[in-house]
Amino acid sequence: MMSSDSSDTAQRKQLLRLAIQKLACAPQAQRRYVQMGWMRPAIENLIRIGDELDALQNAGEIDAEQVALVTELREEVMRHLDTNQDFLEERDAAPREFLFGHALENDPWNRVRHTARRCHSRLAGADAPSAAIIAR
Amino acid sequence: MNTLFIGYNDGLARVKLTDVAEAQFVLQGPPVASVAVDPHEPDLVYAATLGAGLWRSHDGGATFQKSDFEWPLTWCATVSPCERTGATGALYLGTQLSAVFKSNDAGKSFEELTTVQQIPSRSEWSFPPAPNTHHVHQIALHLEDPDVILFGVELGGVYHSSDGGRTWAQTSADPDPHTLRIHPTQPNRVYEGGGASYCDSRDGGASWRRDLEGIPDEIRYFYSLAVDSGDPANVLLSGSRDPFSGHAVIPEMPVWSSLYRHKLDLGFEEITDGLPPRDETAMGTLAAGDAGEFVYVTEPGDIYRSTDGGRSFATVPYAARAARGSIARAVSFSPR
Repeated sequence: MMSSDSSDTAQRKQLLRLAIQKLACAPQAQRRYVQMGWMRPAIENLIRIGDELDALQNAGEIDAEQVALVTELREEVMRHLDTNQDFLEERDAAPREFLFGHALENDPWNRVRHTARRCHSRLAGADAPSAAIIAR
Repeated sequence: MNTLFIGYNDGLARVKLTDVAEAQFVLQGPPVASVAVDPHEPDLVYAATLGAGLWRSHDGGATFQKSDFEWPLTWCATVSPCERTGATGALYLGTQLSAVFKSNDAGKSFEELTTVQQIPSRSEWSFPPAPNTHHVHQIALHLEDPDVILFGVELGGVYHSSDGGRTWAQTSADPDPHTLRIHPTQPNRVYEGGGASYCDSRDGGASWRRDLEGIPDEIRYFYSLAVDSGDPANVLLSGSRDPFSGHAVIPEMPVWSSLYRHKLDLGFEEITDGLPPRDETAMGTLAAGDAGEFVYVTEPGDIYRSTDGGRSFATVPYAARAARGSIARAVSFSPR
């Protein structure tokens, strides 16, 4: 039986993985996540859990290479937070115009997306392909 | 038309439509993502599966045999209406990760269209929620010109070739191509049910126009589409507020979906006559048969049929218990 500590650690890893997935998606999907209100908590989870990576590593949930990648992604996101928050809320646009627009398609967020994809590939491992079978 | 193939999450049913729907489960086990009937040889039927490669039938879909095509996740199968070798049409398959394969010998051997791997935007393709599960979700082939090929990556765009796949151009269609259809008699009319929009083309898929006139702003997600074989302006489209309520992928989130009908220059109107309540039904899959005929296979597993161009639908009693509760991924009419 898992202890509460280990289940908490596994849950934090899961939240971290989901946050990285959202940052790794294509821009149109990310704009939809913004509209659903899911991108802000994803960013918050990345920043919060990204500050506790030692605990995840000590618990054997992630390895040193994964720690380095998540740290790189977290730093990349935080660098842009002060100047570029178009991923956090839908502003000054009708719902469709936002979805069809170009938010998150600038260079800083392209870099975030590519870093997140490297990070997700390393974190998801064999779990990743099943996502395509479950969702339609 | 009175025979349907319905690909479910756990196999394939051949369904005879009369006053009732009688299902015969002809393939059990893998999720069937796409079914294609060879228009030149209707006894030849292909079933693309997620996890078990490609299956073929040589008897009109009564029995299926596994082919040697072993790519595990095969999302779509399409047979060219105009390109054939001997008695059978050229078969195209789309896979995960994204690749396009072609067979000129009825699925015995395949050649990859390697130019797909060289498309510059490939590094941007991703299937939400994961970046390394993108796939070729749809392939559409021209009625008269074998050099015109369209394929759509979920999520990465719709690509058009006018030289048999030697070069590709990304189009302005919605980058999330859930459904691509070419009208069965009007070769240049192409339609897309995209993740965020309906789009159509009148030049064989080279250029596209977005049209959501008449659909409320809160409906921002679209999936299945079918076009009337007797009227290229009559298009049916399934929509939802978002993918999660539309596909019922999150148990605690209520389902919600609706169906819309597009008439030339009049925009879309919602179809309610004969369909289940919007808040009781996840998005289903559409197919078009004879002129004015549509079927809509909703989740979980109910069949609705229209013979008046989609203005109204009627339930077809469907006794196949095994089909209920399983996602209908693919619906195709058989000319047999």
